[in-house]
Amino acid sequence: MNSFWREIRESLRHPEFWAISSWLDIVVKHRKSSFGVLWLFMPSIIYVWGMGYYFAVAQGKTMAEFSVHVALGSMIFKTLMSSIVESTNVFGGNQSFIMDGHMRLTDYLLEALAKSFFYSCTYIPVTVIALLIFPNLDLHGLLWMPLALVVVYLNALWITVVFSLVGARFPDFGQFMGNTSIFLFLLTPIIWYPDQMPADSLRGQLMRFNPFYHLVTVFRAPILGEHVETFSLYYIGVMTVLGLALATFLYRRYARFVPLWI
Amino acid sequence: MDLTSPNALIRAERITLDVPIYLQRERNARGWASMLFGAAFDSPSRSLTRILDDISFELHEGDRLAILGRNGAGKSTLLRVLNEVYRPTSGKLTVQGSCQALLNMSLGFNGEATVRENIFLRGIAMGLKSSYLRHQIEPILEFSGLHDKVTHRLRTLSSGQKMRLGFAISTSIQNDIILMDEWVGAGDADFMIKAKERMQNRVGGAKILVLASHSIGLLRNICNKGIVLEQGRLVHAGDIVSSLKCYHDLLADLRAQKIIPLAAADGASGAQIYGAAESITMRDGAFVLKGWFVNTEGAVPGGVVMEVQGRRYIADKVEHHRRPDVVRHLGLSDEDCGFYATVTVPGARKLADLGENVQVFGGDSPEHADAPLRIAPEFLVQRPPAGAKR
Repeated sequence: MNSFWREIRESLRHPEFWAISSWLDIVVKHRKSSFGVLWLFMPSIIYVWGMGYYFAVAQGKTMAEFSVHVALGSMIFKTLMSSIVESTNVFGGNQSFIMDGHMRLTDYLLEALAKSFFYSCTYIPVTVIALLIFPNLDLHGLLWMPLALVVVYLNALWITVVFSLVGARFPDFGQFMGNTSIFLFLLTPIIWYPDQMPADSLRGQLMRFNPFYHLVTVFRAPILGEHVETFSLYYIGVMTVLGLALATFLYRRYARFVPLWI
Repeated sequence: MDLTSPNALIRAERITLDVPIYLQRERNARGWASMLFGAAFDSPSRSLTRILDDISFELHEGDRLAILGRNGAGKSTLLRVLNEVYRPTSGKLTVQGSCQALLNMSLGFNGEATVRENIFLRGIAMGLKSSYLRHQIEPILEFSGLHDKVTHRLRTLSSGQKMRLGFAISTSIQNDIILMDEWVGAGDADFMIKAKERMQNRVGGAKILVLASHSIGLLRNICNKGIVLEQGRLVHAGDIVSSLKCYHDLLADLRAQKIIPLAAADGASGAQIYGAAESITMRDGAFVLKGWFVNTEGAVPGGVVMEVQGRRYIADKVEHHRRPDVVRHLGLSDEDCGFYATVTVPGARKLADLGENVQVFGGDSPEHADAPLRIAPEFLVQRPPAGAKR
């Protein structure tokens, strides 16, 4: 069996290291402040009830309709974006462990993934409130959520592998991704609706080119009783398979160079 | 928790390692502005360098391997390969048995987390089970003397305390194979004693030891095998004495070709001096010290100083002579490592006048003679003990 999948399985079987180091990383960051980890919930409140409110008014929507749209969208966006941002630096940040001979690199990948999972969990309270006040919640659509999450995390996994390797080789890459995150956020229909961009327009095509759009849509649309384009399903299917294949290939080929790069 | 396995083994077969290195472009800076500009905007160029070249050896249980070589010869890199951090570009490495590298122990911490959390983090990174670690926290704190610091952030510890903690964690279990870059141990005197004892236990309990060091006496005492690296190539492999001999010949060769400087008269060579003072006798109203010394590059230094009751007396005359016994023992290439040093101590007419507190130092020159030489047991015996007068 390929080294990537074997090591991922080993890492999943022995979660102590990556679970502890990711959790420590998150909690100690907020130790010095008096509100502590409560700060972690701030982005979700600001995105959904602050920015969400502003754009709801601008688009003539009520908060009851619009907040859940923003909440679900930004939750998935946050998951994917923090996978990218965390992974570009994850090998560099763990340099001393790697140099000390802790060589199952998938542990560090799962550390990045676990962090992004923790961050997306901070959106749960806001999202639950938004779901409760949403008038036409589709309960059947909610059943799709676990499956959609699996797809999202499979994609986050290959993204983590690819970006961690690229980030270890090219240290500039982390900077680059950090700077493009705002643009990607605005390019993804989170504070606006996808039907504002018709498929035949240039902007509509640009939106459909954006992988975040499809992952956000496939998670959000069923819950809100909206239609998912068939194109999105194909796009995600192909992307997941190709992405995982790419990750498998890159990991097998380049993981050995990581200690030399960092 | 027992991490030992029945058959410890390290087998390196034709290991070669190429490493990309990044070079900053050479730039003729005309002033500070252009230098800063260059530092900011010149992107480094990348080239491949061969750090290890076709290295083969095999170690079995009971082997204590010394890796000899000059700085930059590839010793640390080879240790990292044996630790399976760097995977060889070509060649095959087989390692059987649990392996612990004691390379840079004060690293690998989370500065904002507490001491207790860090013990967990490091222990788990070393592959220990959390159920086992829970019982190890107390002994580790005990050993490092950080009991009252357990809830402090690691960042607030001094570097010495971090070192102690790292040492206590890294050596908390016995492994089959120990890899070491220089002998570990620093800190205050109390800790040094504990650390020394622990290290001796761990090294004694290990089935295989690989030690890279410049300290010849240490390598001679601990190791039974040696390899010599020069520019990434294995130039010699054999028992420890022949390896030391080869290493010293290599250094003598390089000195002869002026590739490395002769033992500099101003004591700036950076090599460390070690040796022993073996006996002291009286001749024509002066004291004659007999002993031997050599520096870590295999060259023989020239300065001897005797310290009596805290006062330094520079040797009037240092004569070198041949010491085949020392040369054989340490595999030296320079035979003339023995010395007779004549020291005049005003007011001292006989050996008993010197008192108990005599130390001997060696150095490239008398002004830089600050390396203590070991005082042989017989050295004291030949003088009547100071207390005998009473």
